[in-house]
Amino acid sequence: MLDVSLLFKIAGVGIIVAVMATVLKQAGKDEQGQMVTLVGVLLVMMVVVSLLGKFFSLVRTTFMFQ
Amino acid sequence: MLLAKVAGAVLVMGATTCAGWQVAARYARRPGQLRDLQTGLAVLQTEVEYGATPLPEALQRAARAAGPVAGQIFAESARRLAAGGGVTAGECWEQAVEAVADTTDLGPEELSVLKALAPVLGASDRADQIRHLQLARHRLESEEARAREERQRYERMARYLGVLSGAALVLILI
Repeated sequence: MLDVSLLFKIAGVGIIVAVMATVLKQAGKDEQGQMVTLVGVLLVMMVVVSLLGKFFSLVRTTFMFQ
Repeated sequence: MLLAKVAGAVLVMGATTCAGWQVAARYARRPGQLRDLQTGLAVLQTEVEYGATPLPEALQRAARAAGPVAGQIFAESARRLAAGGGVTAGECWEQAVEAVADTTDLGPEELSVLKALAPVLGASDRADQIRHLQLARHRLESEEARAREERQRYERMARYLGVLSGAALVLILI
């Protein structure tokens, strides 16, 4: 069972990364802002990918695909 | 368990916030130090130009005029010069700049401006020294303008980034 706190965690990371990118952009450091956005996306991606992997293996075991 | 998590979160937030404030404080201190350095060099120039004061004494007066942080460079080179030991005034100046550099917030450009003074300080005639001191002051002036601009741009950014990176770290680690 997936707990809801993970969703909040991902949402929080998204908000913080967005604010960070805005702050960096305001200071004229556009490249660093894009870098931070990219890092945020990758971090969330790592969490989501492992969950997706679990999900697919669950589907496979449920329907007995060989 | 919860208590440990909360304590850890507070510690992480505190650490990154402090780091952000430190960086911001560095940006805030730089213009003042550059201005003090210019004051010191102006005093040194006056002493060379009108007073023809011996260099150790002139350096000490410049140190008093330049305040506690930037004045360290002048005071340290005066001390080294007074200690003797077969070093030239230029070597004393260069060594003093290198020794004190870490306690100030000066960047490599400013340090190279100061080190460029070493070959002429106390080694060439009065007009040449004055010209070099003026040149150094002009270059420090433009560095100061740039430091002010950087302060306006990056001081607040550094604080925000400190707090936000702490929050992000806490969220990811929890």
